[in-house]
Amino acid sequence: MRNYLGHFEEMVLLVVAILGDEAYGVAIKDELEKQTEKKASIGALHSALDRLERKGFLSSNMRGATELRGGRRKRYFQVTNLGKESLREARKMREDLWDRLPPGYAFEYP
Amino acid sequence: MNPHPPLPPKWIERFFRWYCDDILWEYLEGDLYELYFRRIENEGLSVARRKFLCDVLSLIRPFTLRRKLKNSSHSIIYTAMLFHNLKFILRNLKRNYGHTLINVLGLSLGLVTALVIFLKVKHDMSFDGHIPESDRIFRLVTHTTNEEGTDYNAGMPGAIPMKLQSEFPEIAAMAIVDRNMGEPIISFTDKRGNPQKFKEEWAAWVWPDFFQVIPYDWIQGDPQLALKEPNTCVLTESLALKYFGELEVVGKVLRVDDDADMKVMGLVKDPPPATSFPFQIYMSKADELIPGWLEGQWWAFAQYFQCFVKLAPNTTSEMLESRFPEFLHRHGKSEEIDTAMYQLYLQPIHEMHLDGRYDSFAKSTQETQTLWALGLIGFFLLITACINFVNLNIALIVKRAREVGLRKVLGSRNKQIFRFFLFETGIVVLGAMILAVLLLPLVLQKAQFLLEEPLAFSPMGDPLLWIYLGLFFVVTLIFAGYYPSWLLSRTQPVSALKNTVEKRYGKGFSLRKGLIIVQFAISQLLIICTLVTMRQMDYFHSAPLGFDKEAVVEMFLPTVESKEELVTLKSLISQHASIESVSFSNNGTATNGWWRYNVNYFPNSDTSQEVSGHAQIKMVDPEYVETYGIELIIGKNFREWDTLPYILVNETFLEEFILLSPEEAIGKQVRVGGRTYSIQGITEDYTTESLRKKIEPVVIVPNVDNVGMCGVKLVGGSIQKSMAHIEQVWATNYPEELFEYEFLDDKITQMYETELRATRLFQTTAALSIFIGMLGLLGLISLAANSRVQEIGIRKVLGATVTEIVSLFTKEFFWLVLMGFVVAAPLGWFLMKRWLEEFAYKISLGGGIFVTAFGLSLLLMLLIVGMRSYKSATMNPVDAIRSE
Repeated sequence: MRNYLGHFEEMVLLVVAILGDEAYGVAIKDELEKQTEKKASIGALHSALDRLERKGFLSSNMRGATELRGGRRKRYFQVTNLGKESLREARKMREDLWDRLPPGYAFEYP
Repeated sequence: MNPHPPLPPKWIERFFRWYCDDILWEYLEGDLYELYFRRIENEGLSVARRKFLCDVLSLIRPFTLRRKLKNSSHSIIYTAMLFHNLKFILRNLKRNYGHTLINVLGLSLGLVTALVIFLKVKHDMSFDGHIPESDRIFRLVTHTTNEEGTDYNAGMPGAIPMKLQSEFPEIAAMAIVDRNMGEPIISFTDKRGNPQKFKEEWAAWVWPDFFQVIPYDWIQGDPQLALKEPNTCVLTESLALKYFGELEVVGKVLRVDDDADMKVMGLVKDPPPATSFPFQIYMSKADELIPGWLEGQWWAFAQYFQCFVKLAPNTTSEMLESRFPEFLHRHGKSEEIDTAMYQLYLQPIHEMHLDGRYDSFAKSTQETQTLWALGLIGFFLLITACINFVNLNIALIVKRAREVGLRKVLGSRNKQIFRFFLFETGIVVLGAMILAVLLLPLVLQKAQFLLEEPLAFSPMGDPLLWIYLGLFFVVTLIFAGYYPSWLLSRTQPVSALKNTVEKRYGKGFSLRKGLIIVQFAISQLLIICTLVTMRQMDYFHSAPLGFDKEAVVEMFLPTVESKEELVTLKSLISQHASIESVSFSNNGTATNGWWRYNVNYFPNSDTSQEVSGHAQIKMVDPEYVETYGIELIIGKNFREWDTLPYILVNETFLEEFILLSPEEAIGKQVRVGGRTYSIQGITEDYTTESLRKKIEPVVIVPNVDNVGMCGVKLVGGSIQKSMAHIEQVWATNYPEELFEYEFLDDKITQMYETELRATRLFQTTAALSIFIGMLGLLGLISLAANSRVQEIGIRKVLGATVTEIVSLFTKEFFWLVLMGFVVAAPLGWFLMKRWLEEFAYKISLGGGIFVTAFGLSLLLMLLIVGMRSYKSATMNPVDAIRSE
């Protein structure tokens, strides 16, 4: 079975991609909240990150301990090629679906 | 920014690290910290802390937990081994089925007892908890002090209630509950139109406001109005069903004592069993709030004439009590009430059941002390059972060391082995608990004779019980399982596989001995308690009472209209040859109730000088002395029926009031109940209540206006015939009454029911603790005998006799029994001395009791150890030595 990308996972994956080199827990959470205008609990976020990593969509490394973090390192995430592939696929699937809407239903972006 | 903002709470962090995966926690905690510090800046410390906790909780996710299990070094085996281990444990239990049986049986016995005791204590503690606003309801009690000590009276003197009610607006409602009339005969016509007659045990005459003080759940009727009129009554649901078989009873009429017709005005729900007001019928006292004989009295107490009050909200009992001395002083002046000697208090209603100083309506009261003693006994039995467990498991170490050694060689860690054995203990404890819960209903039924009333066991609706059971599980597991498991897990694999463990744990293990000493001490303590209580009971039955209790039968008299009626009754009863004498009196000799009056003694011929105090009053006819076999020291009995101004007093009266020789006391003046009498004789002291209480001064007044009891002395002949004769007389004279009688010696036996129950309790628990202890001893000694089979064989080959081998085993245990005795004897002496202190007349704590207790446990030990070691000693040494 292909690895399915859930809505929340997709958002997380996109945010990680947007943040580039700065994608670690708190930064992802902030960006996610800013973009979706919804609260994301740290538990749900890390749970999703963990899942994405196990699916191979993300890779991570540890660095950058600061005093603000009590000397704990950050785990930085990068989107892997498989991740990019699955994002692209998700987008494609969505656009295909949009394209197949009957003409009467189509509406433009504002 | 503050350079050193406060760190997040330590315990939350510790909790996080506890559950979180070892690999994950660092960056997760880093994120948590970052968020936390940022929130301190933006939202303040308290919000930050709260959100920190929320975040930690939100991180309890499969991925944070899962890896912890997977990655820790032993956990793969842990889960996979669970069923394997379970199988192992069950096999082991099956193989050592003897020990499993002893453990489970012992533990469940201990637990059942502890559960019964738990239910009993819970029942007693819950008394009157169902009454709404019970913290505002109080009983008025008085303490009267004289040279002898303090009397605690729940009976209310007639002068107080009305005055109190009119002067203290803080008293929202007041009600007298009067049960001095005893048990009325209630007659009525039932559903089918047949006349019915019942003697109602739980009947009370109450003031109209009773239901304002003690609220009930009403099915029908108006609590405000139900008892407002005289000749009205309120029934409980169960009584209505008993009498009429239906609940439509309002408006029906009950005839009480063939004297008054009471209209049923209301129907209330039965209170729960744990109530101090167990009445089933409440009759209105609206026409006579204070009966004539108590009216205006300060010093007349009737124990079942009690006053209850409900205070207004925002009033405390202390506020009211602090004003009582002034109240008593103001009103009591004329009656010579000394407020230092005469005090009025408010007793919270929920203490009624747990304060034995005062008389209560419901059954017997239960002293908190007794509940503690019960709890202690339960705890002792549990300890005994746990000790069995610990001892047997330690003894089994020898057998199981190999298993542990092998496990270790194959890679088990100490922690795993420890958990394994704790798990095994848990299974046994759980089995014992299940057995105990299954047995409980049966035991409760059988243990009825120990408890005063049936106890309900409703496992489903009793969360407290489950909490208790859970607590028991944990405590027993720690007590019984922790140490042996720890010990086993420490076994050195090399010595275990080389079979040298025995040298380290098998012999001379002092903890095991210590535990056996505790067991022996507990069972000997309980044996001592049993013996003392049994002896005291014997004493109650055989001690001289000062009157003759044999062949005297007593009947309560219905209301007597005239003296002539009594004369006729007496002559009719006396007709039968087997009847020696018949006497009418207010309450016979020894009785559960008493009539106590204020008396004044005048040492001189005029009233210039006087000594006042109180004395019990016996209102009697001339045959009283003969019927009850009371001895006169000096003077003469009454000769006439008339109320002559002569009285008899007892020796105690002489000693307390008169302080002269008996000869000189004759002719002295005494005032009782407003009349002055002269002493014409002195009787020997006789018991008027029970041997628990010291004999009080007694004044015997010739007066048949107030008689309530008919005593008949039988002589020879068949009792059945005599009783048949009396019954016939009764039936002719009082066709409306039920004929009920009681033999005096039975009545006296019943007075000691509490003590009898204590005796039975000790008997049962002593037997249980002996049984559990001996069970453990049997287990231990068979293990010891088994592990020393070869030694015994070699000894025999070398010429040891059976006696020598048996004494090898018993000698050791003899010292343990002795050490147990050294602990038990002083403890038992101290406890039983305190128990005996409650009785005015008691046995002395002789050495015989202690020697018997020691001898008994020694004998039991010898029996068990001797028999088992005899079996080993008589085995063929060839078999023993040959087997490996």
